Amino acid sequence: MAVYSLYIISKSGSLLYQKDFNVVNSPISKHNTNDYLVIASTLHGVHAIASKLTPKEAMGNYERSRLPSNSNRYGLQCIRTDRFNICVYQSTTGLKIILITSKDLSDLSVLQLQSKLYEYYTDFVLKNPFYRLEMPIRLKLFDDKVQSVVTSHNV
Amino acid sequence: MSRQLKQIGDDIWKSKAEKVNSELFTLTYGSVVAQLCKDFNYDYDEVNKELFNMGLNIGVRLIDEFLQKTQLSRCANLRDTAEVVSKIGFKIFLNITPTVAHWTADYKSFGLILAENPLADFVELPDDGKANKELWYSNILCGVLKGCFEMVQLDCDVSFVEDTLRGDETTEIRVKLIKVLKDEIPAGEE
Repeated sequence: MAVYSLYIISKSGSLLYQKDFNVVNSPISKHNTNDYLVIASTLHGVHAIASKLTPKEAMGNYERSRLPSNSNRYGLQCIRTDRFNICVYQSTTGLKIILITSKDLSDLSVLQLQSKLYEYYTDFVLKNPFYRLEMPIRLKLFDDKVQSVVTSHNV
Repeated sequence: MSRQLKQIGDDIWKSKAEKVNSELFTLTYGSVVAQLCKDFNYDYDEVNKELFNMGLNIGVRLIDEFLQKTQLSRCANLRDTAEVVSKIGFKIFLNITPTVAHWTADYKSFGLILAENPLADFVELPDDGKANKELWYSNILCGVLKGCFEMVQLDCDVSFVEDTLRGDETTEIRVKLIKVLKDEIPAGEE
């Protein structure tokens, strides 16, 4: 089980944080900063488009969307490919936490991890008095926390 | 609903909320206000504004922690919002539960009556003839509420209307919903 990449995207769609994790045989190749921005804004846009396309009746089909903390009911929930999954979590304030994971990581553990990452965001990013909202996150403490919680999933 | 919320608030207060010595908190806030009064040369309007802005900056950050800790989703109407603010919001951050009261007939505006106010223990306003009429000592709370509401797309006016420090009967914060900013609700929600 492995988590390959993490993207945190703000309400307005700008990329706040991106990290690729060191995993043996990761299907995710390295990109440059510009590519990450493109991936982030594409996901943000596709999510918004998907939310318009999803029929109301289909809303409850996906287990994760029923969890109250995940405000992502109609938008893009998950892209499943042959080699990895992309899972989107959105808070009521519009913050997106997107994980690219291996196929064998269960929906529940992905959600728990996203929830934990959200907690770290509220603690180590928002409570830092010098962090300005909507700005890229370059904070050592947050970085370390993210690294350690994700590493614990990468076995 | 109401009892359920109270239970949630109590649980989070017990298990997840970080605690701090209340006197340290009260004294810190007191020294901030006193310093602001000095800095603005006892122009209490300016002090109110500054406290409000400080609160606003706290509120826009605090809301995420609130949502994360409570795992709540968007409220269906302002009545739910009022209950959540009083029974969970105030509970987990200040350990008080203001009474929701004085609804207007159209349910667009309500009052939060603070029976106790941890910010104002030990406080007596300066006896300069105007602090009693102009200073809203705990105005930071209004800013915090405003900031939190703003981040969940509720455009509200929040202000004090009464404060026991001024010699009023009660301490009341008035919240008035101007508009739900529907266009700004993040995509993918109901």
